[in-house]
Amino acid sequence: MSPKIQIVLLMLFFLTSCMDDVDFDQANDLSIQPKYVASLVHFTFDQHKFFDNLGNEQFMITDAAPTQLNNSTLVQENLTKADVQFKVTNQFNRTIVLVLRFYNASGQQTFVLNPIAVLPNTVDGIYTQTISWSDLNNLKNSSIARLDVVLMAGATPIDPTVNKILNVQVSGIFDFNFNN
Amino acid sequence: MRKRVLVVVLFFSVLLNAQNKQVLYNFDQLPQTLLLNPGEKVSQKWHTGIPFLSGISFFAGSSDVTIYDVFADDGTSINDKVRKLIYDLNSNDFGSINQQLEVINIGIRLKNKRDFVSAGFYQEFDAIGYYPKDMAVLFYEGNSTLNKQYSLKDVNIKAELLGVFHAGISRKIDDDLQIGARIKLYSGVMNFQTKQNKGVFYTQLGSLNQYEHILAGIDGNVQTSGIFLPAGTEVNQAYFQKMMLLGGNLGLGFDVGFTYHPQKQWTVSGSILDLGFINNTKDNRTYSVQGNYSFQGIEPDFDLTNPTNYWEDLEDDFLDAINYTKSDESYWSWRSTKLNGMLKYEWGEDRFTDCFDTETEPGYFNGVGAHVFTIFRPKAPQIAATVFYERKFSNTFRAKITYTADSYSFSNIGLGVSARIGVFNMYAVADHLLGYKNLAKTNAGSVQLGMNIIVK
Repeated sequence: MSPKIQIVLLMLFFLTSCMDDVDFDQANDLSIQPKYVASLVHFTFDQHKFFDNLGNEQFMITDAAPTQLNNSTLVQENLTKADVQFKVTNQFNRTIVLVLRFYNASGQQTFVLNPIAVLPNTVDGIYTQTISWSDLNNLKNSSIARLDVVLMAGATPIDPTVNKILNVQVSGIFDFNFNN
Repeated sequence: MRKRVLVVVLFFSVLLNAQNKQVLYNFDQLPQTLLLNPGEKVSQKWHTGIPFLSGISFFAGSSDVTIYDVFADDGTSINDKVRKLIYDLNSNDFGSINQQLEVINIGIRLKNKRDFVSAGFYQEFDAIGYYPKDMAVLFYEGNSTLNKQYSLKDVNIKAELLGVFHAGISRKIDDDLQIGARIKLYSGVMNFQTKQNKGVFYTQLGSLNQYEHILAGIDGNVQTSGIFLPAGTEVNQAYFQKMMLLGGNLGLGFDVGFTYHPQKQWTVSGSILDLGFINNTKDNRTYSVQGNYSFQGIEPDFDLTNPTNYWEDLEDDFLDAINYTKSDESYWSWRSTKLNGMLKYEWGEDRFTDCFDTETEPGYFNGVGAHVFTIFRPKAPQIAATVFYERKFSNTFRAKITYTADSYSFSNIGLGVSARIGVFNMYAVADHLLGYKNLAKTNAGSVQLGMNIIVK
């Protein structure tokens, strides 16, 4: 066999090699579903926090922060489930209600978690709220989160001179699905 | 997107020994063998490679994973296959890609007859990355397993694109010994390296909140050159030409080698290649982190009259804690040095060599031998061992068949052919031939092709 023919045969061998028994369309079925936990917010304060500078009792204190949820590609495309977990110790003699609200950039409320009522003298109470699939879309359109801490009306006023605390720990469990 | 990145990481994390040219080494006195051993014996008066076609080299492969492992049409869910790979691969699995394109290769024998000088220019892309197992698992499963530590030490990647000017000499000391050396001037276009990273990430039960996220003992860096370019820089063909033709980051390297005949039919040869570095001084950016960080959530102060920018504070705290720095300081990047060693026995003397050609030593029809290749990579050297048989069918046609074993594959069959028609030479080399029947099931494949003008 001449050298030229041998080279041609060799090249043909390379060029005619193939891929068998594979299905690249399976890539469309690939789904990776990690679960992440994250601490979000925590605070501890005593009964002074519910009094203004003039010494008047306030029924609610509140704070807000941007969430960037609406700008996050990771959240927009892949977040499939979110559980928000509250762990609360309420030494006050009044019920505390926690309300977590979300707003869009226009200031319109997009979503609110069911208010959590923490009875007096609760120690390490656990309250978990699952955000449903439909509510997730509202959550994803949010750019601001606001937490209201409401001191419910009661028969006895709170006494700032008594050392009692409210401890709130908020964390999230987030399920993602990375697929096409 | 992240999913695709993960699949790509899986594939390229296990590419191996991309620069082992065990078939081409010491094959038919081809001009390209001088780039594998500057002390190679060549018998031609002069040679020139066909520009851009004299040396085309490409390797792709995998060790513990094949395309078939992921995409087999066997009824098993692709998600089950990917999950198995994520956990089966280990942090010592690595990926390495190498591609070379020879642009110019010329050589000529000097009047003293004993020296053969050669020079040229080629482009090279070389990359290696180790499988960052802990990071892949963290991405795959999340951080919900408390106290499980994910190490950053497996994040180890090196990649470079460069042009190489080279000039070498192969000198005949006596009938038994030939030595050679080559000097290389590197012109780096792009470099990326991150290595010797340390530290762990884990999540544990917190003291202030339900979880505490911890980065402990973090010590890492990423060095880049030619990746973050000044605004307005056009990355086009002219840019690459300029950077490769001594307009890039310059470096210096050496090859040395020898060929020795302890007895007439025995040959021992060896070489050290790319003993050198590049001094990256242009368009550099280096990132480094060092420290510890703990996070248990934001602590609001419930004072809307003086709102706090919690994210900005969080970012500042984080960057302070891990001592984040970004600089454009220059740095050296070392080339991946390679070693070749070969022992060969030949028999069947070619009695039909041109009797008027007194310069060329008579050759042999048959040769068998062994070849060992080592490349020094960031974590550890990678070694491959080869046995081979070569056959001279005529003065114009030669073939070589190899069997190579390394840490990953024990079924690598290679074949090389070299044909000469007058002064025109063409060679083709390939290995992992058993995989060509179904590329999906093969671990690796490499091809080297080229055409030269060789004047005896």
